[in-house]
Amino acid sequence: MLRLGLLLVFLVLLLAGCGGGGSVSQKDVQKQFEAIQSLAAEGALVADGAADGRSTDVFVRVHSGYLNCAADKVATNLSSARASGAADRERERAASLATHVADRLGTLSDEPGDTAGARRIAAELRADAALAKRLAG
Amino acid sequence: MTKVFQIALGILAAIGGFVDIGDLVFNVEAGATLGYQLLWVIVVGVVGIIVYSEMCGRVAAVSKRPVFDAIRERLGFGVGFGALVASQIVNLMTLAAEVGGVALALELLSGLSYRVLIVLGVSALGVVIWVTPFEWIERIFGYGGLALLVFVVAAIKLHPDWGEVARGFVPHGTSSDKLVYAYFAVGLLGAAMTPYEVYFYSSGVVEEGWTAKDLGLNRANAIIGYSLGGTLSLALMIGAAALYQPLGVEPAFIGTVALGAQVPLGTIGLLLALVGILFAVGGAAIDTCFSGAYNMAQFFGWEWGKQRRPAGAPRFTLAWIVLLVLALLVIMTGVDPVLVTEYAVIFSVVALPLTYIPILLVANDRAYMGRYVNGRVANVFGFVYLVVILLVSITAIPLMIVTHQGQG
Repeated sequence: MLRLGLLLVFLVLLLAGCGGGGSVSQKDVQKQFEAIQSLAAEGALVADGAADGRSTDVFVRVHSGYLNCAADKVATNLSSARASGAADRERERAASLATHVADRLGTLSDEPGDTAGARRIAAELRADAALAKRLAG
Repeated sequence: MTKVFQIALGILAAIGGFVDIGDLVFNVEAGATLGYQLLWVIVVGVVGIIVYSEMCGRVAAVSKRPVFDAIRERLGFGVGFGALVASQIVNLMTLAAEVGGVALALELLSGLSYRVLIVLGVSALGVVIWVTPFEWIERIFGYGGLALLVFVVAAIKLHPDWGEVARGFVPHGTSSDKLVYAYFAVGLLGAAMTPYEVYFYSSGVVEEGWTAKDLGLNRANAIIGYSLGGTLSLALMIGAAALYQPLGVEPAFIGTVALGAQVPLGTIGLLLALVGILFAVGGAAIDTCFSGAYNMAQFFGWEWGKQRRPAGAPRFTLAWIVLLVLALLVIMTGVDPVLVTEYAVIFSVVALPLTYIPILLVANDRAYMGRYVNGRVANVFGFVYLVVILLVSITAIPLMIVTHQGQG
């Protein structure tokens, strides 16, 4: 029974995607840049909808909130991780970029009705996505 | 008009089964990752589920024996019990994912707290299942899910490269990562042929009291319902390939699916997408909930059926209530429904042979089927798909591990 309980706890933790930190390789950092690109590009689409009045405030608030959490998680994981040499500089850069993306998505989530702000955030997130794509190689 | 209502079972099975949270996630992820390359897999999956749904519907209509009856009889108690446990685990995972999907869709529509909406969503599903007649459940969720047709319009409005779309219907692997390609192909087949669809469909045939006279209706339900589901799946993949692949978006949220309709169609597209997702995922939650209870009742020989009042089938009623509560508890732990979905789809692939082999055996048994036994065409398709099912069931979990769930 105890073994079953432990197995269930393990499965729940696994499914919840717990963990983070530790050592990361160059390939791991590249993967994180790809994740940042994805979140920024999607965030830009959400912001476009808000800027043009072609979405709902609720959707913009909730969905950019989820994207914000995901970007924040990437930033936290990268910040708490360690790598060696050039990979560590890349890691720091990725962590910084993820933090910027998370901040912009957080602002969009907090002020979904601000069309001018959404237009600015869309442009910024598009630039972030382009930078992340370049750095991912 | 009666005929339109009569194909509701197929539409619910297709909308709730073919376009459930697993398909929403897998089709959009596959389109965003591999573009149009895997459109052919959807066609293969649609034909497979039509072949086996028609077969199990025919078996149920002629012999009054739904799938799990056949499983227990043909595989014996031991193996049958193994099949029951495996199917119940997959059912529960799927149900938890669908419940999470209902709450997410409601959250994107209302802005209320996700956890509150999980409780509200499960309560609403419980009330609907308790008070609504079977045929009205089919109609409400089947036809409500038709709002997902907005994704067909969205896919067209996104101006995909139609030449590439056409090439996608011919198997060709241009992807540099063949394992990721194989993982998504296996996942798409698993999502298309997920076992609970046939459990629900065959039990629904018995619930509706179909007989040998209704075999034409059975065929129409299977063909129209699943073709519709397949069309929606194609639209989701084409839309994701046109919108997300060039931007490098890796879809990981239900909101990303809805965004695929909002970008080309604006607010109305977004709202239709969210309502469609809500009905499709809600319908799938009911499908899986019933499937789990049907399986238990049929395996252990209990009275079963929504058509009987709860007092007429108390253990069946208790089974679906327990399943719903377990799903609530699983999803309240905070697990990501999308991640649960991906695991559920892959694990369901492993259970596919245990579901489909007994159907094929019973459909070929003249003692049960009389003159309605499988013909040559049904057998050729049935055996070909059995080989496909065996191959994907062997490869599913290794592919999930080596590709890190398609991340490469």
